[in-house]
Amino acid sequence: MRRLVTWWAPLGRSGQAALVWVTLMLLLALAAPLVAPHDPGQQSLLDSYFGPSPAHLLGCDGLGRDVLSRLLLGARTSLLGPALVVCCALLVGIPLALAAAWSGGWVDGVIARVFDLVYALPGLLLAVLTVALFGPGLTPAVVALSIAYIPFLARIVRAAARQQRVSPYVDALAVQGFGVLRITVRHILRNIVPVVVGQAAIAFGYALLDLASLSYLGLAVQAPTPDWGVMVSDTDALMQGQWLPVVAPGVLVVLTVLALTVLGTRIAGERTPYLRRGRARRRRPQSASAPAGTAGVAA
Amino acid sequence: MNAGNAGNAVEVRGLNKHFKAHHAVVDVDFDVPAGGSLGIVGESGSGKTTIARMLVGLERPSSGTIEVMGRDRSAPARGAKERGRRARELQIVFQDPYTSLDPSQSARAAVEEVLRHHGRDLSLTQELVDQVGLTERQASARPRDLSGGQRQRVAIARALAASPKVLILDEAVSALDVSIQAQVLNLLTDIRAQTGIAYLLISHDLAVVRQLCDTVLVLRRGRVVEQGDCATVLDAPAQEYTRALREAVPVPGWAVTA
Amino acid sequence: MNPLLDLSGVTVTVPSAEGPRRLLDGIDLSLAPGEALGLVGESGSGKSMTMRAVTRLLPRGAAVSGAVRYDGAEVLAMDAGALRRYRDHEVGLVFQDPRAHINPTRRIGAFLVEALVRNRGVGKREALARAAAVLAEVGIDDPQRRLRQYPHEVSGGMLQRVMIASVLLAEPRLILADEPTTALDVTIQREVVTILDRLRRERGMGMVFITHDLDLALAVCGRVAVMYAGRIVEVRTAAGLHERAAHPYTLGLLGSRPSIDARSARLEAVPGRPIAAYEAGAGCAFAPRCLFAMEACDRTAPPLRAFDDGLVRCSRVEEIHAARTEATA
Repeated sequence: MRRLVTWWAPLGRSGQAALVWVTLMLLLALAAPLVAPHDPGQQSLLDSYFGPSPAHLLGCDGLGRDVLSRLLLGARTSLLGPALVVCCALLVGIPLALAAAWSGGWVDGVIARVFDLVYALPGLLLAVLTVALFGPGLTPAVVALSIAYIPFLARIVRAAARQQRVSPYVDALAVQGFGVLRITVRHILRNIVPVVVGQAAIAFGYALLDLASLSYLGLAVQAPTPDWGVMVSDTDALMQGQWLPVVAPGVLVVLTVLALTVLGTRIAGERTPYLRRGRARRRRPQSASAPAGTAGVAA
Repeated sequence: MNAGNAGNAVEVRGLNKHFKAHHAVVDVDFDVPAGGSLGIVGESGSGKTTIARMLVGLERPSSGTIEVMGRDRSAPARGAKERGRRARELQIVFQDPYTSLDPSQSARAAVEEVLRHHGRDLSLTQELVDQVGLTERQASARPRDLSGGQRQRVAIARALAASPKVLILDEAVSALDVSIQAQVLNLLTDIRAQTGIAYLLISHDLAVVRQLCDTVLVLRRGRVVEQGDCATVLDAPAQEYTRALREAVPVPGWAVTA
Repeated sequence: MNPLLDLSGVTVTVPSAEGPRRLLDGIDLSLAPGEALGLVGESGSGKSMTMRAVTRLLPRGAAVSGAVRYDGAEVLAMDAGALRRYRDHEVGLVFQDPRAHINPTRRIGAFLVEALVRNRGVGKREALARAAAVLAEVGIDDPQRRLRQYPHEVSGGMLQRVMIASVLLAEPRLILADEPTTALDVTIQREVVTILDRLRRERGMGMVFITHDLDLALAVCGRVAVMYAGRIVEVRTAAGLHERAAHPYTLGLLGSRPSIDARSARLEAVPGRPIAAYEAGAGCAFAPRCLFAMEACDRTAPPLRAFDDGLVRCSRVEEIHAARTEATA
């Protein structure tokens, strides 16, 4: 109970609301086949652009498919894509970031410059080029975005790891004879988990938006598959005066991206207590080189 | 170099360290006898911390030799086995109690990790926790819930867990409140009496050196000014600089007469 | 003679996540014109907070009660204009870390003359001449060159002298020095303290010298007040405190410091750790760490009262004094 309180309370109202929303979306995506009232692919031309009714709570689209069911099943593809992007980017980015933070010097310099270079490439542009080369589909889009998101995650991880690297406790572990791998993984990485999780949540949101945009343009997820981005592209519905099939997935995208950004910022942000750093306190040292902080309130 | 005087735990000869054009340490020689206690005294920029970092392998000497327990460690350790052996010869306690502990590790976890690493019996954990005077509750607490003095006790327990023959104390009591500093100094005196460990104390504080050390070395701008028996050097300094350091220690009525 | 500074019953409470926290608990203190008073204590003792109360530089949301009188005027009741005049003209502050208090992007000369030009309407050339004169007074060679340098170009000891010079330019009657030499090397500490002491005497300024180092306070000040957990526990002349300290905490501090002249088998360490005012119980704040404490000490807080030419906050001081005299006789 006490542990629960220690991480729940610091999220604050907005963070808590964001966490609830994200959890809800994930649960709905997982349980979609069980809770969806209809088969999302089942067409019924008689119901084309039929408004909300007890049988179809959010109405039907042009092919008479149940909008609510398509939203629920669409959550799976819409969330799976960004999840893959974040996982791949972390898998490559974290080792590079830790290697840079540990070595410092020219190794750090080279890795940091490569990050800067990739960071300068717009992710969407990279994805569009990849699709142009390999044809449209979720896989090429995910691969391209994964590469684009490596520096987004790794730059922050590197900075946080660097801060740990120069702490005397890391020197103490090295003097105890522990190997580099053990110190970076068991100590440094463990202490920056909040930074990684927070930044990953933000990246998840942006990747969700990117993939939805690509699907909207018909470059990622393809038409019959239910997906929020694909659903938003159903402009015929608007012509027919039916806005729900288009606006509902759009609202879900916006709210989910917003929730992930808020949540990530709250977890990784400077003012949250998740980061396990030494308490900054007044030091009372002698060497003039040691920065002596100003007196704290309690001093 | 003669093959290690059996009486010396640490032998340093002709030690130099250059950072680009800056000579941080210049031709430093000293010994720490087995079970002995040497104080290295100096002001900021004297090179005292650089010497400590070279001894534990965090910096590489530009030239000169360092022998600990008769084994050379002037070059970086090759392989995990050699690193482990060096760790069991020499350990260090740093100055700042707020950053020298892993913030997510309790005292107990930190000590156990070191014991396991050196293949020592985990039942020694309790012994070490008791030896440095931590209570059950303190030993299980995260560093953020401990005071500066308690954290420094954890750092000492973690260093002792490797069962080193020599312990470097790099300004290890300087950041502590006076009443806490006295407790830790007494603790260090007791540990030396019990285990016969040798100390290399790095400090700017002559009184602390006097309390803990048998011999002293005065360092200025990377060079040895004077070294010898603690009582002799502090009571009858042969060098002008040592005298100035001695006279800079505040005593009642001091500014009035200055 | 009327005191220059007089604090009575000063209590400071600050808000915190766990509710209001008392940091100072009824501070009574007075300083005569031209006197040097040492304020000594460990972490949480409230020595820095006392200085903040004197200048009304308190943390946001802090509640102060009691009285702070400077030359007869109530500081806590001053309006904005009076407070600014008081801070600008009457009080000079010297901090532990001069680098944190001097703008690193401006030359030392610009820093020194700013207050003179802006607040006193002194001409720029005249102000620079005065600044150079004061730099020479604090023992800085070639002041003209120093005025053109930036803070990062000079050492910490030099910068602390610049800080002292800036205080002197305002010609205050009171100097508040908060750990002014703690970040400096011992030899530099001695130079800085000597300069501070000489100037204080020459100009007849009062000084409150805040430090964790009892030895240093005894060396620099005529009178020393020892603080513990937001209260003053003993006040005595420096010589008196050195020879005849009476409060168990002061005795503990003196016993805790190793001597430079001889090694002792064991230091007379005080058990436990220092606490802040809000952590103290209803009785004597030091009782939990005191070797002489009895049950009664935990129940009622003793007042600060006269004893042996000084002030002591301990209910058993007579007995302790008698026992100690007997032991040494």
